[in-house]
Amino acid sequence: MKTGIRIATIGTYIPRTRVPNAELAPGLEIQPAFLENKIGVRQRAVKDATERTSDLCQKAFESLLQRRHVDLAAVRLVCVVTQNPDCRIPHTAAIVHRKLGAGKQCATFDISQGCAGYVHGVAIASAFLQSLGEGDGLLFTCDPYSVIVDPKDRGTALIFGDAATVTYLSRKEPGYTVVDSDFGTVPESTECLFDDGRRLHMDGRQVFSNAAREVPESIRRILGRNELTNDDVDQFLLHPGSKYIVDFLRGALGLDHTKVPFGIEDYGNTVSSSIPLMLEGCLTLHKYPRIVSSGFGVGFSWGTNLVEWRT
Amino acid sequence: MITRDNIVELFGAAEIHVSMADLKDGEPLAMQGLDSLDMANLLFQIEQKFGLTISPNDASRLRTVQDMVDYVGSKRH
Repeated sequence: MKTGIRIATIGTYIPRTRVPNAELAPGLEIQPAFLENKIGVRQRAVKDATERTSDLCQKAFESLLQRRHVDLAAVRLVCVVTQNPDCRIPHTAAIVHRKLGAGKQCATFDISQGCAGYVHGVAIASAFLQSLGEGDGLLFTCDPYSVIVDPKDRGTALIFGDAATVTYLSRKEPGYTVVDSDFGTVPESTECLFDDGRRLHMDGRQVFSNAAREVPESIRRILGRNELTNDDVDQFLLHPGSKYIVDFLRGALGLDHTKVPFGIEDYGNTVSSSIPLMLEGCLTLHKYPRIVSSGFGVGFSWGTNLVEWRT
Repeated sequence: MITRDNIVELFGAAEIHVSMADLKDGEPLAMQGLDSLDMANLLFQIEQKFGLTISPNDASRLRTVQDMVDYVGSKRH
């Protein structure tokens, strides 16, 4: 999929409040070595109890404004990737649209996807903007899991953090453009991660097994289709579900440490925001011409994008 | 015929570092130093090696090396 739409700038918001995991681990019978070497999260970012998903998105937008000028009249799409909307009706993108003061000629919709949400969102929003023929887009991600995680559940309590991001999608500016994508959902795997209306349930064994089986294959497929090898890719942004899964995938694919960032030690696994938080660093550095990003989780679904820098 | 060695050799693939000399086939691996992610990886290696898909119910019952030998043996008949 070559649309010409570029990932130009990313604004981010990570709440300042941090909850240290080391204090909670003993009560959950989690050993310090397991916390450090396998979960890989020392502290988690937690939003204020009064903040909603649209509020976090608005703060990410304020961060974007510190990095660039945004002409809202040129914005023809506001899309929010979330499974934690402000409410069922209306869609959170419409609420964000109102808070930003965006114009009438602007589509709004949410994408319900989890840890693969950004990869889906970039591909969908890029194709959507291409079909419009004019205008730019704002792609938000926000999944504040602090609302749905049971603090007594040792399988999930020390992993997730809150954050939001917004990606400015431009048809004129330099940035990363999607060259190819690979998506999928494992049949009969919905119960590996679900919210029963009260809290999040995760079957860590199933999540690991599905990721270990599907993600390397997805990345190999996309590289093969584009006649690329690992050496041709500058960074692999693998969803940092935990240090253990990233280490496993890096090993399975035979990737160098320097090409696979982790970096969530001080805020946690931020679900749909995890990949754009890493990609923002790549945009700032301006030194990675080709990047593969792969998200995986709820569904069990995965999504892999190959993006390349275009001037 | 699935043997104990067929299972134990997968510990290396899963990067599980335990003393093979001290490994007790009938004792839960969780009691012998394996954590939940070690177990997840070991069961994944079994799935890959023997072409199986282990259901959540079955996974919860596979706690010892002997459980795994018996399980894989039963699935291959």
